[in-house]
Amino acid sequence: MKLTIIFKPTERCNSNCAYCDVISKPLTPDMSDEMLELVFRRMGEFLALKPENKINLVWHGGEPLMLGPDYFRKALEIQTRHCGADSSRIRHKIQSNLTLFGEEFVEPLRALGVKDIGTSFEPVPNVRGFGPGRDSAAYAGKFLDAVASLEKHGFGWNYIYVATKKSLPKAAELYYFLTNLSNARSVMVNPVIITGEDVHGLAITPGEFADFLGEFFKLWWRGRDKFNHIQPFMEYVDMYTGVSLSRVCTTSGNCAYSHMYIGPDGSASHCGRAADCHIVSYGNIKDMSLNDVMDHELRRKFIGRDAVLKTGECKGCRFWEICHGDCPLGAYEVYGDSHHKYEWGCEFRKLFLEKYFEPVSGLRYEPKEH
Amino acid sequence: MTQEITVVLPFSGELFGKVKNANLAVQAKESDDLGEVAAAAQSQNKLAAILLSTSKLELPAGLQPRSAPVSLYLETAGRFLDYAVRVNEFAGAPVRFYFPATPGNAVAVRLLSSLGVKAGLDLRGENTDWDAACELLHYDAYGKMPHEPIEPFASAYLQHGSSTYCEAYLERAGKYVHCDEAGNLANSRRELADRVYIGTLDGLSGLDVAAQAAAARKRELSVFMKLEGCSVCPGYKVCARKNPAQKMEACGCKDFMTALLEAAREVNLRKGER
Amino acid sequence: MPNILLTQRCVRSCPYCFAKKHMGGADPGAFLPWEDLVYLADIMQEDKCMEMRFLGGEPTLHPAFADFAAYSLARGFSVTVFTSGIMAPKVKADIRRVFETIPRAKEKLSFLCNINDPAKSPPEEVPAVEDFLQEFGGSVTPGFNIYTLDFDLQFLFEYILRYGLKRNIRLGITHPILREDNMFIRPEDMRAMMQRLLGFLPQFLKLDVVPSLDCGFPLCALTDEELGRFHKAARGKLHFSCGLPLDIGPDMQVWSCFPLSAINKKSIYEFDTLKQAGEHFSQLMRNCRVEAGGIYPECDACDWRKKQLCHGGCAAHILKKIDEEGNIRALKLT
Repeated sequence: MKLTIIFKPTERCNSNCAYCDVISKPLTPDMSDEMLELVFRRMGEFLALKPENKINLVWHGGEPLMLGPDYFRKALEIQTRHCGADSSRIRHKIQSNLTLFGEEFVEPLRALGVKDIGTSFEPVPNVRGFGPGRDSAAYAGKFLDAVASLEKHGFGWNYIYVATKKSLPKAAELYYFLTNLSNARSVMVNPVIITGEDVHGLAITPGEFADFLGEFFKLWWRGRDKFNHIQPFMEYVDMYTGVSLSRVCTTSGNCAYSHMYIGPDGSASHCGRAADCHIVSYGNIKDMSLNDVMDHELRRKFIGRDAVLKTGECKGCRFWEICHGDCPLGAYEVYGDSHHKYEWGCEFRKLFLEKYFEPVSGLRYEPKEH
Repeated sequence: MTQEITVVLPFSGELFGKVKNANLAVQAKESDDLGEVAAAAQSQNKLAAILLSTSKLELPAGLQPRSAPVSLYLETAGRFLDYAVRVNEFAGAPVRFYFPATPGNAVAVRLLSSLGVKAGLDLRGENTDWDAACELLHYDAYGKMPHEPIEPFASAYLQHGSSTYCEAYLERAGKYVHCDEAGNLANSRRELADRVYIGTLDGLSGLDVAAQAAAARKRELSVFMKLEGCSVCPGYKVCARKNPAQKMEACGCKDFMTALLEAAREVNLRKGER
Repeated sequence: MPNILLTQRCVRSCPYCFAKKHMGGADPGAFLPWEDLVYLADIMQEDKCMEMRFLGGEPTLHPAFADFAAYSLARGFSVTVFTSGIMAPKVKADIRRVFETIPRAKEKLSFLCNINDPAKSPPEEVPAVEDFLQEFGGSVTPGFNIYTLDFDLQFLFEYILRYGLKRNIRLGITHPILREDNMFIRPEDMRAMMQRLLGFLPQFLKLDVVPSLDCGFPLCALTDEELGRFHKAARGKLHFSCGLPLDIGPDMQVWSCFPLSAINKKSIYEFDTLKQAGEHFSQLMRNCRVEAGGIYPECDACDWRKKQLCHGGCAAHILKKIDEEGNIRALKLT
């Protein structure tokens, strides 16, 4: 069993992405050394308690590289002290904008066992960039230099593209840009999530995202043997052909069993989205173990979501096994309660699958359960 | 390390003497006897290929039946009737004839290929006719009758997006280095001419090939600064702007590269079906 | 076996030319490009059809004529060139080179020269033809198109003897061109034409020259006795067929044959194989023969036609009638 911890030691970021939830709010100060020690102590306790479990520790932010290479060396040293032999059951991952990556990070990240770095990029100008003016040209230069450096040192990289309103007229160009750029092991296309007021006019409707992704899909389907790492397409193909179920947290229906969040001050929440949008709090690891966080009574409500939706709002839906009512945090944001489907996700998915995926691929999803 | 890359260098005993156990691709002159070239290259090294610029569409002197592959670069094939009598001797020889991509030369390549002669277009020229190249590609990929595979298409199919068509011309950073008479090294023939040196032949064993490949990759990534031009070209994967003669956007190669990538896909799908 | 028109330009103005309209109406600048020759060679080779027939206009006008011939020979085809024999010195020099340098050219390259009666030809044409025959006569089969009833074949026998031509005369009769007003041998004149032809049989036999008939001759224009004599002179190879050779133009349009070149043209690219193209036009011809078996009313009930010993003469006669009758038949011509 794998526990994924979205680990946010800093909320600081050197970029100014127009849709970011983190930097648009007052920032929590960086994680202290004491808190860092506590995190790994709690992990050590958890692994000792659960000999069959593994932990994915996903360094997140803000921009985690703002902490500097020594921070990662320190983390390794602390981990060794508190987790000992159980360190082999901890897998470090990192989500970074890469613009601060340089040679100095190679050794400490490698020492932590990081093989792939998750990142994202926006080629449409002025959506991401440095400073108040959102200098996207300077950002792009740094990003591309970092990609070259990553590849030179043998790191893989995975890539998320966040589709916004500005992406919509450029579906074909963006498809080719992403597939041309990427020696990435995985490319995932996600819709932008705007919490609160859409100041920059970037929000998109389910229909708009379905059409955008549909244009991608038409191009992808022809070359899928070459680009079989583009998500969510390959995952849908696997689900449709019975190879596997959904592995993505938002649609697996399993996130309550597998995810947690730890913030710079030790605050514990359900996941990154829950914490960034201040939706759910499980407390603080100062006062609780990781096992307590996983066993929190609030979490049990998330766990019960599947059963409620399957016989309620999602009853009879052909795509239940693919979707599971989509992201529970999305529903929580709208209703203050996770026992609803996330309608944005539901609407998008149905539109995309019925209008694009099934007609183009010739596949049709038939539920396994009746 | 010397065995991982191939050095493309002029025929020079002095240069050969600077390396041992290296893979060499030798640039001979029209007056050179290929038997002598091969013998000299193989005395301390391995001969990977011979490159020869020539004005005559004929087999070079000293060609051995089991020679390392020979690439002959000519400006034009000329009239079919002029070389028709030699077609039988060309077919089966370890020689490939390359011509600049003009409509007339594209026809010649088609004729030679249909007669079992190895031939190809050199797409690195400033005045490459991409339409002519595209027509020839359609013949090569979708032609009804078996024929001798045409370069650089065959290389592109083989790589299928994992590298580029320029490998047919021994151009790939990290796999080939090009050397001039003075022993300077560069990543491509063009960079050699532009004096973008990466080292010398004397220091071949110490050459950081990975670093060179990375530097080349960094230059390659510069097209992704903008969401236009080569970065959004459907054919980028097979091209990657490795061809230094290509100008951004306006050179007219987009349709050709897109067709080449599609052809690579079709050819590999057909192979998979067999 | 398709006829490949290298060009529709011509050097002559034959009084009978049933290709005149096509020649005149066609783009004079059109020459078959190399790429299309290679394509045609591919589809022919795919169908195991290994004889190239180059026609025109005058095929030797094509700027790469000799190169085309050399290429086709190199591909393993035999090449037959249908020519007037009137060509520039440079072309003759090129042909000479083909014979001298290309392997097997002497066995595999031949000419069918449609020779007009010198007495009826423009004076400047005759020496040009005779120069060609002088140089290449050993590779030339003479041909003659019958377009009037007072034709004379004597000059052909003289040419065969003088220039060492192949001892075979390919005889053709001119047919009506649909939607044109041209000279042709009418059905009612077939018997008279055959009588005149039979008059030359003694010469054929004496000089050991074999007559062969192109398409469109009706069997019933001969009595049984005449048929027997002709059969012997032709060494048993007499045909009374409607050939459907398939003509492919320099623009890659294909039609069934010249008399029918005005109708039902398609691009060769519309067909996956040559065989498919052939079957398409054969079906059109079958549709035509359902309307009328042949050039005579008697053809409908004719046993020899049913047994395919005779095809009922040229379909152009049938289609001309249908076309002129207006839109009252089931068969529609496009």
